[in-house]
Amino acid sequence: MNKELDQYLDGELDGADLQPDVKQEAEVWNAFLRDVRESGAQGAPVGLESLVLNSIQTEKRSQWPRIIDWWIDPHAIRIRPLIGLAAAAVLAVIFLLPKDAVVPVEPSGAATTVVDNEVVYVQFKLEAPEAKSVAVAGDFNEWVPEVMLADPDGDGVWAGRLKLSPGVHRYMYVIDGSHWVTDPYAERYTEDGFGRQNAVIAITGGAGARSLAP
Amino acid sequence: MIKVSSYSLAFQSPLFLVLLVAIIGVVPLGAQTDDLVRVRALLGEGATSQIEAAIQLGLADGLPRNLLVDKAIEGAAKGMGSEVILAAVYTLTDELRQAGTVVGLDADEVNLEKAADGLRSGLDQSFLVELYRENSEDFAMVVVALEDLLRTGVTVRVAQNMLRDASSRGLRVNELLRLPANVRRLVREGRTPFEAVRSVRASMRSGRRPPYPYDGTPNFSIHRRHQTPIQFMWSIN
Amino acid sequence: MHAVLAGDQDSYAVLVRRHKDSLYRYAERMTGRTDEAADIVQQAFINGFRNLDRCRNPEKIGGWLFRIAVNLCKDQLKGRARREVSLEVAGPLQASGGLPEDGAERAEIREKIYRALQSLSSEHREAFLLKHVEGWSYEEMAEKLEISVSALKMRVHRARDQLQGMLEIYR
Repeated sequence: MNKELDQYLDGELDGADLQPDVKQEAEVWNAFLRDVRESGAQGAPVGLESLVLNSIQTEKRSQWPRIIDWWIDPHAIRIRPLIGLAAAAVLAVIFLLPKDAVVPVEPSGAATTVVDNEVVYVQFKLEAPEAKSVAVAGDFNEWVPEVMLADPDGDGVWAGRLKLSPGVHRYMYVIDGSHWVTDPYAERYTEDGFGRQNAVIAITGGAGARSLAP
Repeated sequence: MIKVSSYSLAFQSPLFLVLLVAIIGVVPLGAQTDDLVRVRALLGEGATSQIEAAIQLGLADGLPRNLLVDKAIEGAAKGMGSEVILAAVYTLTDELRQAGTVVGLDADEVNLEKAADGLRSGLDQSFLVELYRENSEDFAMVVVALEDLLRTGVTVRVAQNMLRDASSRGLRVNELLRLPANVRRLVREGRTPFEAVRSVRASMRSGRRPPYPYDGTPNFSIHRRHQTPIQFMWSIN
Repeated sequence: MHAVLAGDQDSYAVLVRRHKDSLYRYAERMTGRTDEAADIVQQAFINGFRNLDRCRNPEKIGGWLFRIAVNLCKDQLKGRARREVSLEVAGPLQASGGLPEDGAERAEIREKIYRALQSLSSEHREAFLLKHVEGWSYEEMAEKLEISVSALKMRVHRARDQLQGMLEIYR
C-alpha cells in the first residue's frame, strides 16, 4: 500500500497534504472505514448493564461471610425488659393499625386508559377443534387464564366477550389450562420478552375521533 | 439478692428472632402490599426474592413498580422459569429507563411502556420525543400505529414520514390506526411495502380519508372471518 | 474514582454505564457473535470488580477494563480454535446497529464486512478494530496491549493490506 496513504490512515498526515490520486484512494478508505464502524452493534444490548450490576451485587454479598455468619450462628442477645416492651409497642403500632394508615396507597397511574368512563365490549374468538377449554389472559386480568371462551355448538370455534377500557391491551389464549398460544388472527403483535408474541388490541374509544396534532 | 436487669435469649440465633418477628408481622403486612403473591406461589420464595431485587433496581431509577411486577406475573403465569423472568425484568428495566428519556419517568405508565416499544422497534428517539410533545394524549395509539406500519416491512424513515403526512392532513387517531391494514392489503396483493405506502400516501394527499380503496382483487373473506378480537359495541356513560 | 477502587458498587455502576458500549462494540466485532460478546463484556466487568485492588492507575481504569475484555476475547478465540468451531458457522452479525439505510444492498455490504473482518488473524483484527473503530492512537494501544508501537503499526498495515479487496465496491 502507498506509504503516504498509510501515514494518512494512521493519522500522521493531513488529508489536505495528499496528492490528488492518493486523496481519491483515501476517500475510498474513509467510506469503507465508516461502514465498518456503522455495521454491527453500536453499543451493548439492553439488559446487559443490569445483568452486570446484578452479578456484581452477588459478588459483593459474598465478601461478607462474617456478617452472614453472625446472623445465622446462635449466640446470646441481652435485652433490657424496658427496651423489649418499647420494641413490642412499636411493632404493635405498625401491625395493628388499619392498613391505610401504614401503607400509603399511591394513586394508580393508569388514568389515561379510561377515557370518559367508556367501556368497550371486545369479542375474542379462536378456532381450536381439539381443545377441551380455551381462556383468554392478558394485562387486563393480570394474566390469569380465567375468562373462559365457549363453544356451545361444538364446531371448534371458541368465542367470548369481555369488557375492556380504552387503551392498549396485550393478551394470549390459553388452551386446556396450560398451553399458551398467540392469537393467529390478531391485528397486531408485540414481543412478550419470553420469546413469544403477545397479541395487541388498541381500543381508542371516543378519543379515536380526535385529530392528530399537525 | 439477685438483681435481674436483662433476659438472655441465648437459645436461638438472631436470624431465628428476625424470622419470628417476620412471621408475626409480615403476614398481615404482606397481605397489604404483596403484589408478587402469584409469582411466589408459582416459583417459590427464593426466586421471588431475586425478582423482587431486580424490581428494586428499577425502582431505584424511578421506574413504576406496576410495569415490572406485571412482567414478572406474566412470565410466571406463562410457566417461565425464574431465570427467564429475571432476564425479562432486567431487559424491561433497561428499556423503560431509555423510554424515560423520551417521555420522562413521571409519564403515565402506558406512555412509558409504548415509548419503550417504539424504541425497540427502531423508531428514532428524537422523533418520539417530538411526537410525545405534540401528541401526548394520543402518544400510545400513534406508536401502536407506527409499530404496526413497521411490521408491514417499511423502513423507519418511511413510517415516520407517513405519520408526518397523516398529521399534517389532520387524520383522526382511528383513521391512522387503519393505515397499516391498508398497506398490508396492498402488500398481500403483490406490491412492495414501499409502493404500498406510496399508494396510500397518494390517496391521503388527494384529500380522501382512510380506509382507502385499493386496486386489484380484494382478499377480504379470508381475514374477515377469523380476525379477532372485534370491537363491536360501545357503551358510553 | 477512589470510591470505585474501594469497591463502592454505585460508583462502579457509573463505570459500567460509561464503558459497556465500547467494550461490547469491540467484543462483537472481534468474536463476530453477539452472544459471546455479551458474555465477554459481563465477565470483563465482573473480573474488573474482583480485582480492583490490582488496578495500578485509577485514572485509567477504563483502559484497564478494556484490556481485561481484550484478553477475554483472545481466550475466547483460542478456545474456539481448540473446539474447531468454524467462524463460517457462526453466521453474520445481527443487524442490531444497522447501517443508515437498511436496504438489501446495505445488508450485503454488512455481510461482506463481517466476512472480511473474520478472515483476518485475531491479532490483526484486534489492532485494526482498536485503531479504526475505537479510534485509539498507537500510543494508547501500545500502553494498553503492552505491545510496541512499531509492532502495532505493522499489524494495522497488514490488516489494511488484506482488506484492500473490500474496497472494490466503493470505487
